[in-house]
Amino acid sequence: MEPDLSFKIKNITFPTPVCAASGTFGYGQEFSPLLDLDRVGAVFTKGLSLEPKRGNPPPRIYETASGVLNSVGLQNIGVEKFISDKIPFLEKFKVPVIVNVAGKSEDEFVKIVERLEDCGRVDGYELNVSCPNVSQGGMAFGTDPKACERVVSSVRKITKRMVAAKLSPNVTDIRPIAKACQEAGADCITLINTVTGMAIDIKKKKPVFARTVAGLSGPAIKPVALKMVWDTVRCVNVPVIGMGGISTVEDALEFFMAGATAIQVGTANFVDPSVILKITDGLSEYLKVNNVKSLRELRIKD
Amino acid sequence: MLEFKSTLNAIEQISADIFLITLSAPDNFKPYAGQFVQLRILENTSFILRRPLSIFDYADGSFKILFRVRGKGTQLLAQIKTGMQIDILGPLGKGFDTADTEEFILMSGGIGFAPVHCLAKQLAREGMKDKCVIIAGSATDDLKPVFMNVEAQGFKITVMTDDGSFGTKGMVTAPLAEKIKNNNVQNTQVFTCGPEPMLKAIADMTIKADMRCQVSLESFMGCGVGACLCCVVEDKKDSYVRVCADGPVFSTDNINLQERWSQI
Repeated sequence: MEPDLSFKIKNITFPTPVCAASGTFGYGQEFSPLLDLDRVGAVFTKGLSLEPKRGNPPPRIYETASGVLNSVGLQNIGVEKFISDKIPFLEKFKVPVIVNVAGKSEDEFVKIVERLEDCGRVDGYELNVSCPNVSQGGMAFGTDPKACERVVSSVRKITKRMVAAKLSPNVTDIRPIAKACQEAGADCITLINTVTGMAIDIKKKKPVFARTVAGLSGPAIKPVALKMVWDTVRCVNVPVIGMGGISTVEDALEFFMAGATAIQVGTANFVDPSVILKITDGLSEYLKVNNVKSLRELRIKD
Repeated sequence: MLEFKSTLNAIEQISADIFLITLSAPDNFKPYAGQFVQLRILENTSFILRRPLSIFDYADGSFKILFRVRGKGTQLLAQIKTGMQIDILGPLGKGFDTADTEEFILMSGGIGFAPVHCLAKQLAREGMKDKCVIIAGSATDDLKPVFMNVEAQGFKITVMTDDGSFGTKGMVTAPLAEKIKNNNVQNTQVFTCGPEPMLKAIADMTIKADMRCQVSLESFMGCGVGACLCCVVEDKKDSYVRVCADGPVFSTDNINLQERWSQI
């Protein structure tokens, strides 16, 4: 018998625990010729801002050992065009749609969610608190528990849908931030976003990226992500969705054993467009072969 | 757009760092000139991204890639042995649009010859070989065998080299200027691929002569299918468009070559 990989958060039933990470999957359409979207656990959309955002000048991507640096700069079509242009495509599928909300102020987060509340196809929100916060002079929300607390509680007040907080790894201790988000009413914590890094072009003798700083993703960051998921699972009691360098079923199992309820796959989609399905099938196989009823049983007890 | 395992059927070394490979393809792999593939070498574990490479030629059941060794990916690709498998994602991108054109001027610089060659072969199959003129440039004679092969197939080809080691010494813009001066270029369109300064020079000339021109660009890429927004270039409307999905071929009307960030 096929193991049941589904799980619930709030009123959303995720068909499987392997989801597409924000920023790597657009709004679902581009990858649809290559894999069945209805077999994906959820699509976490590209981050949306209130108004369309142009993004950073190229180059926006640079390969590293076992990883990738990116500096896309949250280019997106804005919430209005998302609703008019992208939702109709998503209506054709049943996959849970979690909109990644990328505000630059508490007020913007609230306005974006307010607008999306009118859109029936949206199932939940992932608050990208790794965005620089203008009112705090450019420091990412995600490095300040109080800033996270304010954003999450403001959004919490205006929606009954799932509210997840997506945490930045660029902190000394993830636990106060995770706890602040939970206490402010987050239904779920997702982590990690990219790790800050940079590269220098030794021929041009200058940084590769116009903004110097970029975000590192891919297999190189998996150990960093895994430790943060381990710590977060042990200090909150809401579901934790882990991500960071997952590209195989073995990687995925590490996250479930750390206590994650689900995972997201991002950079690996570039390498293998159907990796999400391969991992899902691998997890199913693992449960059958090892006679385990649910991935929840895999969590290492401490 | 498909993802499939391809077998390397042949590898030919053209010069010190240029290789021509022939790969198998399924029956439903139907590219057109100007498209590319995202290539993944399965034996590799140290770098992760696929490599975007132009389609040099295609036929039923196979296609060819002409590439220059530049970095880790192409270095590994040059060492792959026949019979080994490579993972292919493609065909990708918007290729050359040949509609409403009576005369075709195909121009290339260096390894940019690859997609231009594909267009030449495609036009020949459509019975338009005699409507085609190829002006191919290179720093030196590293592409000589490929150019000679094209000439042997009956194409009109002019070769310009920076060092004069093959063809005529000079830049591809010189024969283009001649053509513009001596001909009515109203129904003629330029199709080109190569280094950005060359594309910019050609674009400036064609715009001035009120001629249509399509350029094929390259970029570091992430997904290759239009989802991640990593491969962008600036268009004329002050926004960023994707080389992998909105291109790689762009009309000079729609792309801002001036602002192009030189990456490669």
